[in-house]
Amino acid sequence: MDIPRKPGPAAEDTAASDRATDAAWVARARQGDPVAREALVRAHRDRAVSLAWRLTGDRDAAEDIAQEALVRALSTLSRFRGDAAFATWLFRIVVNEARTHARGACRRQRRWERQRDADQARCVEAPDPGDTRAEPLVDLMQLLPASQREALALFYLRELPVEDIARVQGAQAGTVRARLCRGRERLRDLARERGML
Amino acid sequence: MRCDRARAALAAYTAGLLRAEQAIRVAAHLERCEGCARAAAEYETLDARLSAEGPSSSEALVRQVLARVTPPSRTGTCPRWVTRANAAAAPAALVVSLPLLCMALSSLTAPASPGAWVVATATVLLSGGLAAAHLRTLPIGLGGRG
Repeated sequence: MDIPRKPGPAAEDTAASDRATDAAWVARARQGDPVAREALVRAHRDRAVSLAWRLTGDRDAAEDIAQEALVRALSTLSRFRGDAAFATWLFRIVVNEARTHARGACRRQRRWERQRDADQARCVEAPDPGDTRAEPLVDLMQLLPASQREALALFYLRELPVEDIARVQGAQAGTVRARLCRGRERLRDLARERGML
Repeated sequence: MRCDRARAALAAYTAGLLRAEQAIRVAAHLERCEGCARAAAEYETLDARLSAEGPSSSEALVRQVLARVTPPSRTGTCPRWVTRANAAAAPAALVVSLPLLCMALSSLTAPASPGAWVVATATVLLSGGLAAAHLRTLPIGLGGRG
């Protein structure tokens, strides 16, 4: 059996290139360049939504969270010191926005209503194979403790190394590895209990 | 490596979180042990499904974000030509309204007939309206939109 994935040199080159491009856009956006602002939004919107979706299991909420996070990031660019990649900084904001979202009782209620409506709709319609809301493993992730769920959600974003997850979570790399392992073990157990594996 | 130790390491192994020498030992065990290999395959199934692309964002998201982070222009949504015309008309309104106001006040203090009362009152109202229109154009927050 092959030894599992780790980002290879090509992936590291791509990440470095993305980081340099982002740094150039950030510098221009700070000076009020609207083209740079749009470039940053377009470059990072999908991953922001994808992360928020894994954190919440709710596509509509994910879009709201991503929007808030992108607005907050662009509005506070002066606070971005450039120690980490812009993407890492943005992911941290997405995680914070998702935590705020989870705390809001009113929003939880709306989410429950949307989920109920979506479930009712699924009962009468065949699931769309392209509808990523139908991924039950993402729903199972919602049963994990928040720190493990956040670590896993970041882990499953393509090629995000443990060190970057640690920056986002404000934790040591060793702590993040432990969260990932425990979260994966628990998720596998939950999936087996429900016959998903 | 025994099965219990291999199983305990599988979550880290399949995530690429083990050091190279540990990963090699686990890989060697999986070559020989069908049960542990099946457990490892379950983690790989989890990874494949959860690493799949999430939902893509909508174009509306881009528009809404950019609308919220774009600073408003100093003249608001009012076209520039309207602002300029307003600024030019304001002093003229003041020049017209002040003499009218004086004439109306003098008529009110010494009215000649009931008709003169009506004309004087209408003139006072017109003068007040013109003066208010001028005040609204001044950049000191009077008369509405800041």
